[in-house]
Amino acid sequence: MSKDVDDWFLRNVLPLEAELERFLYRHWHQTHEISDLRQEILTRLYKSALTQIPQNTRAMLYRVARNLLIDKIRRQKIVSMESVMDYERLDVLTDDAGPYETTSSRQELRLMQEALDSLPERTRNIVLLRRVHGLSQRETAKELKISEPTVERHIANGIRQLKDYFRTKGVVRADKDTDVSQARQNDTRS
Amino acid sequence: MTPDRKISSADQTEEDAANWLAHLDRRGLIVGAPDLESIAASDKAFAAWVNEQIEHRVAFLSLMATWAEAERFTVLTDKAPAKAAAERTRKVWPVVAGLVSAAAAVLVAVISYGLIATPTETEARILTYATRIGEIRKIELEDGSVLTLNTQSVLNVQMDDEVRRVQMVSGEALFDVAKDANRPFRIETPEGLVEVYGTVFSVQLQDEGLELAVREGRVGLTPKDADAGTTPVLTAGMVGYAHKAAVRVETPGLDAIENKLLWETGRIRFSETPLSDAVKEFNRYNETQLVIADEPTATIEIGGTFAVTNVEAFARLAETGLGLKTKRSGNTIELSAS
Repeated sequence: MSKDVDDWFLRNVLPLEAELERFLYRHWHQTHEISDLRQEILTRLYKSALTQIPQNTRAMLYRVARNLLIDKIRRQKIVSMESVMDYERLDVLTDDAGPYETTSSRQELRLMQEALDSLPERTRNIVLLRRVHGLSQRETAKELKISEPTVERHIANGIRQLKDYFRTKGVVRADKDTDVSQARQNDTRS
Repeated sequence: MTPDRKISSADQTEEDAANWLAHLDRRGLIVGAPDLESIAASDKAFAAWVNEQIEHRVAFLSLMATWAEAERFTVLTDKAPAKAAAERTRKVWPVVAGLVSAAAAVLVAVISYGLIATPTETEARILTYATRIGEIRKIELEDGSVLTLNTQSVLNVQMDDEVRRVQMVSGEALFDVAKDANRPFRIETPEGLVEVYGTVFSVQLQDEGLELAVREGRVGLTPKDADAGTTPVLTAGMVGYAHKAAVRVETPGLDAIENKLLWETGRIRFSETPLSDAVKEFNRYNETQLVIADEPTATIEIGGTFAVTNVEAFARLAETGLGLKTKRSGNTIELSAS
């Protein structure tokens, strides 16, 4: 495990997470299994990168995802019509990560605002104080006259909720071609 | 923090990761760009956990990225209107309580009233009010009407028994006019005459004419070179434009009007706004002027709510959010694609 792989994971894989989420929801109807599937896919992807960091991260991500889903369908004792159809669609849709599945800067901004708004008030204030106003957890606790463990707990919950929000809402269908080209430009710049 | 196999193991792993992150953050170890190796080097128990399974590492990296992202909330001051004021006074601490919106409202009100200078008496009963760049000032008139002047605005007020008269010289103002059937409220501008019948609306003098936005009530608008009979009456949700002899009336609706009048609270909102327009709007409020260097940059569309005077945050956003380059020299910040 190296810093190179961590950096690659942060920079190239995580931005695709919301897209992966959508892919999973579209192709896997047992929604309670999705968080495990997601973890399995990301873990396999990380493992493969320890040997060699892939040239095309997105293609690799979909290859891993597709193989895992097909494995799971095959292992199911009763194969329903639905899952057979899923299986076929998977073949067709492996490369369906079209350019429309990107988020423009302004959509991203709106998303940030919505994510923040979605937090419970107390948690939101704590996240704002800590992350925006730059207070430490201790200072935050003092400011709000609550205990440090409480602040820590709110932060742990806040992170998870923000993560959930970005994961499920992170991909917005760009409604204009210019958005897509813009988002892509940004990709290549960074 | 042992895995509990009864619930989804991935959810459990994520919960553990969140607990670790919050714990390490409490100890001040989560700083700067996400770097797992250096964090692990400073905490053995964490190092053991994160190296135990790749699942752990992946979950932690993922949450760490989200936490880093949260720093960008900085530019979205919508929920913390006191923030801009805090930055202005360089006293972040006491104003932090302003996160509670009621406190923020009080704060804003105090600042506004505190800024009312003694008006200059140009002649008997005509008072001149003006705002500096970035200043937004509320003025209560003797009849109970409240005027809110936006940045760089000048107007004269004359009140007597027969008429309430405002001469608007430049800029933009919001008028909350008290009802008084015996004394009409008239706003004279270089671009036309606005007559009021108890209402809330704004008047903005632009290079290309006058813009009137009505929040409440009824307002008549007569362009300066009007032929007889061209005085449309506007009601709530309507916007009128007057230039020379022409008047144009549109009905964008109350939401659009509220957006236009957001400056009253020291904020501006963009939605699919080209960067060139956003920059022009920002520049109205700040000594520090934003300049766009190239055409592709000018056409980038942005959205979000900003404190009008927080030009620094906006420039930071341009760098981190839009991937633009910024170059500072003197009072200008140049934005470019490369």
